[in-house]
Amino acid sequence: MTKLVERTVTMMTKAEARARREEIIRQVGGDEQAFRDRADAYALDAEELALYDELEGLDYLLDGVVV
Amino acid sequence: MASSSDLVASLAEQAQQFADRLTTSVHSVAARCAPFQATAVAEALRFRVLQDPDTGIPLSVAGVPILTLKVSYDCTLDRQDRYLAVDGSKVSVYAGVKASGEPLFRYEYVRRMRADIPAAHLQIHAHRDAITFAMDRSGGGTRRARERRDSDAVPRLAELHFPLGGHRFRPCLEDVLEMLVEEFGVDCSPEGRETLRDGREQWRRRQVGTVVRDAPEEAIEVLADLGYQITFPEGAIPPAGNPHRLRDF
Repeated sequence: MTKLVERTVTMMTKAEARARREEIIRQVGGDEQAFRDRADAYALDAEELALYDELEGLDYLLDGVVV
Repeated sequence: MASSSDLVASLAEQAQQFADRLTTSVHSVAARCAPFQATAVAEALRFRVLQDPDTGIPLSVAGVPILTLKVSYDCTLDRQDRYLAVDGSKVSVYAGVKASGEPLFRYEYVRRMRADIPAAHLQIHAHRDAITFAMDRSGGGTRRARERRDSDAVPRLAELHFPLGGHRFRPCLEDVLEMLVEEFGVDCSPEGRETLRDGREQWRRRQVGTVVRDAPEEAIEVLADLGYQITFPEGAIPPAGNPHRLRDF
């Protein structure tokens, strides 16, 4: 993972992003659908909600992979 | 044609500037919060800009945190691969010192939104107790908050005035009517839908003209970028514009 332009832009590789995604799913118990269902029901605590936001961000970024 | 790595570098630079602008604005209400963070996957022409800490930025009244702000922007390059374009944004406000559960309200924008939901919208989640609890703890720094603080009356959600784009970018009647059709199933024929869209387009085109008069320098820059040649009569005084309309709440 490379930090660009001081410390506010982080560049990840596709592999790092996928690995982080898997790590998040492990952290929330391994069942992504159950986690998403709890997010849809606004049933996440603060740390879980932060992980959910990160997961959504990774999905957005990985969707844009061009090569 | 720019290479993929050039485009990523350009996007990274613009994401940095964008994150810095968000940080500057949020420092107005949370002076010690960390800078916004931008994250990208190297092979993607996309960035996500997010607040730090990831549990949200606490907002205080008289030094006591009572609300938490979460902000995210999903960014890419525009169709010309030149300027940063926002694919989606979310600004959510929660009660308490960390964002959890359900927000009080959230402003969202989704560029590729399904047709039956407005691309830019405000969703109010607040159950009456949650919002009145936060309102009851209003500070004394502004007239409206002070009056609420000093009043014995139970605060009402209806007292809050949510911003909706100011003078120039406010929703039009057609937006409200189509919302009633979509959300409440109010009767409307397919022809009626088209009439609403025609009305909305007319409104927005008129507002584009008004905004150009507010900020002609920006209009000239964009038109020149599109290939137009714009000259002003020699000796004439360029119009000053009307920038305060763009600054008003």
